[in-house]
Amino acid sequence: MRQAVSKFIDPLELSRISDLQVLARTVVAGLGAGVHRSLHTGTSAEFAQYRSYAQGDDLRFVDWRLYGRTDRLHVKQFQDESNVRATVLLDCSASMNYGSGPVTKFKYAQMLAACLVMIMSDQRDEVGFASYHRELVVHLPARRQKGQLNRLLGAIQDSEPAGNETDTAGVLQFLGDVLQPRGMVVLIADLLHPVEDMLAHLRSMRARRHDVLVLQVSDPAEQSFPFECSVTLVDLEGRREQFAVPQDVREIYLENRRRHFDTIHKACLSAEIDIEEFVCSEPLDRVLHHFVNRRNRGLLTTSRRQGRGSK
Amino acid sequence: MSFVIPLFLSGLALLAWPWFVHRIRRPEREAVKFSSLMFVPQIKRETIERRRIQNVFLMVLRMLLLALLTLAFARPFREGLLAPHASAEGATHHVILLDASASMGAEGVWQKARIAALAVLDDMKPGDRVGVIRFAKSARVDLPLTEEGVLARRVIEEAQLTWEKGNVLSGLQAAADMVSGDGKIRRVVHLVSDFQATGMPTSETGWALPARIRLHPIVIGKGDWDNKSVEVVALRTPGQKALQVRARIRNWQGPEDATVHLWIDDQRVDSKRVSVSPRHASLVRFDVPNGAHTGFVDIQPFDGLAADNRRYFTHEVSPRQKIVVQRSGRLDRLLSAAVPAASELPWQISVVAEQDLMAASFEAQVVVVGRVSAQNAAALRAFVQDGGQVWVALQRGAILGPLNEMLAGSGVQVEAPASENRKAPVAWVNLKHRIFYPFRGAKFNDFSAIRYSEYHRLIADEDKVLAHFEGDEPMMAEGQLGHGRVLVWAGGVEMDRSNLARSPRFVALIHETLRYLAGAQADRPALDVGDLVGGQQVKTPGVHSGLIGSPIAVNIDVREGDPNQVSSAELEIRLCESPNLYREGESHTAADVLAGVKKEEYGPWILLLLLVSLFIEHVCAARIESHPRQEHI
Repeated sequence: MRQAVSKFIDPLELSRISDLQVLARTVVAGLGAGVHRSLHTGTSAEFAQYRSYAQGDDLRFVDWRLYGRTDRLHVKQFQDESNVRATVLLDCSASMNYGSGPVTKFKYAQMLAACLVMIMSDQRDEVGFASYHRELVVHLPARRQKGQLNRLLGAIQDSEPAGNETDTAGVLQFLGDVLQPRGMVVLIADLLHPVEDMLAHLRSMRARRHDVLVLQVSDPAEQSFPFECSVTLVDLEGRREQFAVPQDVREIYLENRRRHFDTIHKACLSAEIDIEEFVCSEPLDRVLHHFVNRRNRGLLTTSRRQGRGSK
Repeated sequence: MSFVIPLFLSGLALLAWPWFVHRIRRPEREAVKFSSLMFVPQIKRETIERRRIQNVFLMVLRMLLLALLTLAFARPFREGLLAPHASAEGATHHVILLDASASMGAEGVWQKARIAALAVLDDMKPGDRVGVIRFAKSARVDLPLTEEGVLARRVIEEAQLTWEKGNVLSGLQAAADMVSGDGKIRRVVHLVSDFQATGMPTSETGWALPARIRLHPIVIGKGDWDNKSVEVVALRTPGQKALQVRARIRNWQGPEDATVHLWIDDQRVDSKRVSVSPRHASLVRFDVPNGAHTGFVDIQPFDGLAADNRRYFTHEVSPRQKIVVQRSGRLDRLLSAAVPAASELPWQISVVAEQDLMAASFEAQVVVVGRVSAQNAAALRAFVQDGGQVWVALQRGAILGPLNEMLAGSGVQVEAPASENRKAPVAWVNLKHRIFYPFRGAKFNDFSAIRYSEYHRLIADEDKVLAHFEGDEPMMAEGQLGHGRVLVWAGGVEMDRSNLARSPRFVALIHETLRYLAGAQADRPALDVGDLVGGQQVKTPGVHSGLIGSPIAVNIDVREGDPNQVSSAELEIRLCESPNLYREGESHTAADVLAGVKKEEYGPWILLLLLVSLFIEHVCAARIESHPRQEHI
């Protein structure tokens, strides 16, 4: 299974990413100590805050120097360290098998999923994986046990795009039922399907205090519709054929697409869900680096949410 | 409907192009997988149908355009009736116009031509009159109009070929002259020719066979005979003792291999094998000792047209002329620099001091001076009168008295320069004069860049002036004195007075001036059979000795070997006021011609249709482009 690791993630690429830390800003309760901050103060070495002494507090945490300066008793509280229970959800629908360049969206999504799994596993998080198209194909619940990483990467590698339709909403509904609250759900999909139900279930997950990340994977051709001559387009899902004159339909196509993703982005924003678009032509490590940095700097929705919550 | 140039109908193959383009660009043919069609608007079925019809219409329109274009080149025509002839039932004047050019000497062609001419006589009716004209470079009336058919038959049977090149225009003009007169008689010119393309006028002549004279073209031969020709023979003397004979062999059509022989003074001195592809030419070189030679180059074996298998040449060795240049100013240095003493040049230059000028000029042909002293004036005048040539390139401060004394009676006089510092460009040169003859080309005939800042004034008759400054003051004048000539330049070649020496024309001008004065023979022009030499027309190819002093080579026009033909229709269009267009390769009797069948071209209609179709195509294509091609559900 180690071969799977090397297949998915170039060691050089991995070395570039390994200094990054995916920091979930939603404080979740965890079973073990990790780098994610917990809601609870605990016994780690990282100082969190002072609190006025109350009867029953452990005298070991009283700051005597502060008492000398202020003549009041305060106890030091420390950030407890915990891990996150994360589930990476990979869209395996046939539409993901499209690629105008050498890398298809699915291949790109596979690599992205593998990278995320690797990073979170390095952070000692409990990581799970699920792939789906019309129905759930694979589900590996989040575990933190020996061999889990290899199982995850094997499952990612064995995934193949298939199916004539995508049912993200149904899968989210199922996961919403089986996942424990306050986890992290990373959805990697192209979102090329009706999204009303999916958004409803994403909101539902947020209501259950999951930290939800939506990583939308796109192909450059989908963004620009670069065809020149008249073509008959064949839908990868459903095999429907449609004649199109690119000069005539390009504008409408781009407008429809923009409206579709605007709806998704607005819904995610209102539900405090992180969403980011990944384009297959961009180097994976650079995009990951950019995304994680951006997330850590609090530029994404959850960052704003966390900032608002800390006031 | 027939076509003037049916070969262009092969262009109809182009019709496949729009079909091909529309077919391969059919969108149904190109299926592209795409991730999702949820954003692609669906197209209405009616729109697809309409688009298909529009595309088919556009394709048909484009095919029509190409077809019309092809037709325009093929030039279709239809038969129609001419206006009723003035006296359709009366007698007819026939002119049998026999092409007797050298190309008619190709294998069997002349015999066929005479048979065709005799067939015309057979079709004549009682009361008709007939005349016979042979034409080549010029036309010869062998028999004026007569009712004696027997006489015409004998003239035709005895008619001889010439070695001249063909000129259809001269023949038709002679025929038109023969039957000019009373307009109520039917007139027919029976042109019996191989319709060789080189016999046609190369440009618009402005003359056309009057409409009242019918032309009956009779095409003899198909131009399919093998032929090679000796196209050019050029002589070069790489040294004083060697002569290089260079012959260009052209294979018009036929086998590639041949043997080229060089004959000098009736002896075969060399032979070379040559292989030339059809429609190509190859160069053959022979090296022989230099000397006065006459000879020819020929190709063996003789082919379909033997007349052009041989080309004659002559070569003379002329003694080198002596040119004496007076040492004065920079004149002698610039001349020496411009004319190096190369062994191939036909003269040798020696620079002498002024006091030695007359002694040195004893053997000289040309004397070049910048000024004339009182001591030399009389001697120079005597030198010129005895046949010598003097070139006076007036330098600054020249004494005019002795100079004008020397020039007295030559028609050229010199006056002092004007007091003001005049600057003038050369505005005109006599390009017909031998000195300026090589400068006739458009690239070289502009001398206006040459300027003089100080020059003498020349007084000369207009016909003696070879070049003018701006303002019509003579820059160069030539005078005759006794047996010799005096050439006077208003200014010298010094660089502080003129930029002539810096001009790219300087060396060429000095060469041509010296060549002219030294009397060196330029390359003798190629003479063709039929050209006038010494007032006589040369009728046969060969080396002719008695026409002028020295032997000259006369050859047949090399273009006679070109088997390319023009269609009779093209000839009629170019040379007849009312062309009767006949199908290629279709024989017509005199009766057909007399029936008054007129064939009219569709040219204007095709052009009109072409323009209309082009406009419609443009409008349709623009509409299809500008309208949304997809109406979406």
